[in-house]
Amino acid sequence: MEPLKLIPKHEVLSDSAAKAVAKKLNTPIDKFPKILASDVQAKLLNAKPGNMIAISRHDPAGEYAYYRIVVPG
Amino acid sequence: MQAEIIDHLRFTVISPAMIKRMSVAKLIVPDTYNEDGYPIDGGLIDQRLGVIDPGLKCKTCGGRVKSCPGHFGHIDLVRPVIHSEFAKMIYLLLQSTCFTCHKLLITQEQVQEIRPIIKKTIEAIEEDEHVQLGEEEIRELLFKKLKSSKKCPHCGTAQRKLKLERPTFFYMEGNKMKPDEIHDWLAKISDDDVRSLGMDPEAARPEWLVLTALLVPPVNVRPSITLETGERSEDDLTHKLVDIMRINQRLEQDIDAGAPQIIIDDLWELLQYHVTVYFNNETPGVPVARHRSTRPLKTLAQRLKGKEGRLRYNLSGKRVNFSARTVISSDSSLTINQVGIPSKFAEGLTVPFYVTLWNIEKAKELLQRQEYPMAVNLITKEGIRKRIGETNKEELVKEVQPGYVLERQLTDGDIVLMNRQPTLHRLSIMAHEVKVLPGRTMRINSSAAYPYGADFDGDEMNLHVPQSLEAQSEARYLMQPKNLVLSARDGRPIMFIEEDEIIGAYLLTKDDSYYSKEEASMMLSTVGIYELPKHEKNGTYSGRAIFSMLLPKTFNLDYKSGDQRVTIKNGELTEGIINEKLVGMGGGALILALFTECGADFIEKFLLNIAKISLRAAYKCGVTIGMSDYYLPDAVEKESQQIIAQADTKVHELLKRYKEKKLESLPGYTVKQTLELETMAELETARTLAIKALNKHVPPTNIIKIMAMVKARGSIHNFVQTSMFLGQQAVRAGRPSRGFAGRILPYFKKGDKRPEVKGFVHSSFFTGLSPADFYMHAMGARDSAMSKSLVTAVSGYLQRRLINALQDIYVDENLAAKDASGALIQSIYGGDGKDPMKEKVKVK
Repeated sequence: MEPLKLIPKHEVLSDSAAKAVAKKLNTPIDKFPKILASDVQAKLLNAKPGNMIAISRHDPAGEYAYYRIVVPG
Repeated sequence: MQAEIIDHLRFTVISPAMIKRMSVAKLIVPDTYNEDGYPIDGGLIDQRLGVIDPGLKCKTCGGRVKSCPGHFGHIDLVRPVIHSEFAKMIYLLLQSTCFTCHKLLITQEQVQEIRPIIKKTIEAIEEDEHVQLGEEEIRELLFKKLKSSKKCPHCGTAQRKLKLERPTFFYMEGNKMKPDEIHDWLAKISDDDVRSLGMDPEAARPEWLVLTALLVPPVNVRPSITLETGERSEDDLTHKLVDIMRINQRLEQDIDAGAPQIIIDDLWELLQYHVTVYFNNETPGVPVARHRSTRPLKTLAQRLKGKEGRLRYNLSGKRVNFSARTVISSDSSLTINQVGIPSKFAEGLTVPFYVTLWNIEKAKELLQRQEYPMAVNLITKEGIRKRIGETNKEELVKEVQPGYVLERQLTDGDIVLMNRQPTLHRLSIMAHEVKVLPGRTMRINSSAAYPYGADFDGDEMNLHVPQSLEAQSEARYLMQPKNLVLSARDGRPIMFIEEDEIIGAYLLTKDDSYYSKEEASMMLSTVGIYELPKHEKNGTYSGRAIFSMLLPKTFNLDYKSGDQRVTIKNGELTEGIINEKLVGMGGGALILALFTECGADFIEKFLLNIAKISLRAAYKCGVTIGMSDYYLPDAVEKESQQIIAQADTKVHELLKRYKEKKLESLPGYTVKQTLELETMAELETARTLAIKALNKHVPPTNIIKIMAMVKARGSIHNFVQTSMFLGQQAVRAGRPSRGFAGRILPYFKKGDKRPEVKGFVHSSFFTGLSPADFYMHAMGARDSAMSKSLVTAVSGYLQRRLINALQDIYVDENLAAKDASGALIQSIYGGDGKDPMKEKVKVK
């Protein structure tokens, strides 16, 4: 599948990187926003439940990373 | 002490046995007091039910008015009645069971199939798990199945058709069922079957839904009132209970006397009515019970329900102490940070004064004072509150020592919270410093009114006095207007000068504004400046030099916007006019720059001073309007006619092209729509042309033009409408299109296509409107009034829902946005972690 052009870039983080993000934000993994494993972007990246996906968002404020945890479904 | 945490609450149906256990008295006399005004034993004010008269003792607990909580009594109903609020449940139960064997209309196997599902669902709900089917839905399914059974699977009896006639009448095959039959039927349903229906027989046996005994609330719940005449007036509930008892008694007598069945049934139905109304006087299908004065009785349901009910009025809406409310008015000599408090309010509101080793002398002085700033109450170390009066003053002065707290009257410099409803955002509650003033209104600076959304046409505001030192300092640090000059939305000022002050600032700083020495001294003295700026060669003082006196000597600003340029060098306004883009609603660039460079305390003074000095300049010039200002040169009138004629011909041409089918449709529109669109665009052009003509012919000295130009008040469009012509009136964002057959108003001929037929008004407010014009204008006005009120209601509710959904989101120490459960909302607040309020923003 081709990544959709209008959707901001999604990227699966390594487990260690995910842990570092959770630590930096002082937030337990289960308190992160969620993304379904059946989501098109998750499928595209072949992300499995428990993986963390980093999304680079472009807002009027600038570019920043938004994180989601893949959940079964 | 840690408060007990409520794990769960369970609402159950009260059983007759429970009623009798709770009851301290069986009531038998349908009356309240005897001839001597003494409560009748066994009556509704039986002294065992508690006491409400001071001096009497409760016959149950021996307590007096304050200590006796009141006790329940009961009435034994001679014949059972349906509890109207449970009628639907009873109906379902009757439909689900066989009328001969009283078993569920379903086989044991089917029950076994369903029961585990119910059990699992209940458990899942208790553990807050996600369930496929809700408890309700399963029950619905079950009842649906039961209702459809035609024959009892146990005894084989064909089922009869049941009907419920609201609120409380049951029929089987058209024959009325008596409540006692229903009661016996329900009583015969086995506990197991009850469980299968999803009910807990321990908590709610079906027969309890039919009343055999009625619980009577204690007198404390329904106190009688003694009028000045000495007459007693009973509570509505008592009245209804008397009715119930009276009928109950007559029913008993008639049964004992062997009266005919019809008479007994009639009385029984009457008893049913009274009990139904006792629970809810708004039961559908039942006549409303009324007081002698035709006022409907307020029975149990009415006490709880609605805006004036117990829940919304008394529990959610508690009243608070240390608060005040009155009309607000403006005071241009108060800073945005102050509030003028009527002296009567200051006398009535108090602040705690904590007595220490170092202020005990001051405390004693406060205690001894006879008038206004005095102490009202004294609270000892043990927390005992004593009122300070003339008699005990000396005694208390001797007693007071560190650790005591005095409650002193509100004085200048105290901090109070001001609030105006609707409380839409943070700035609807701000902390102001008290300034006690004569009069009956609370006064605020007009610049501080904007964030509250207040004006002074009769608006009222609430005031609260923070009591604890924590609350006071929190208010001082977080809630004072001087610290909140910049908006949390975009970092631009939300407190600035308006209207007369804006026109004053313009008049003061425009190019040709010069003042004599006397005028300059007078203006500056109003803001407490007693020096003069550098004068011009001819001995006059420029307005800009006078204005510059308000600025710090180190302040610099280079502001550019379009062809406007304002330069401030070393605190000197060297170039440019101070207008609303610098100090008003249009951006407030100067206020923003001064706030960031000179701080909150400076801006507090600056807003006060610029308003004062600008008003001085406005007074000096004399800002006033009259008829002559609206009477324009003949050239304008001529041009008006031309513009209207031109619009007429243009529209006519369009129509011609349309008729000749030469009009090309715009993308996405039909030709007809295109015609309408282009016609409207043409009439819009007329308005723009009118504005141009007005600007060309009206002299720059015209005060209305100046006001509109500097955005003090009104717009050029208003001017056009008063002095030239009203132009197109809009209904539902288009030209008026409905009314009489083939035309909007009967003044026109059918098929007339001239612009004025569809709301293009030629006359002006100055000349007056013709009847047709008047109607067109009224249509537009009504439409905009209606949509305005609708929009405010809709957007208000939307805003409320947003606030409620977002209120527990906070920004943590890592600048991440989280909610109350700790769930991450945004990894960095706003995508950049910036607070607009504290960010240096560029104002255009």
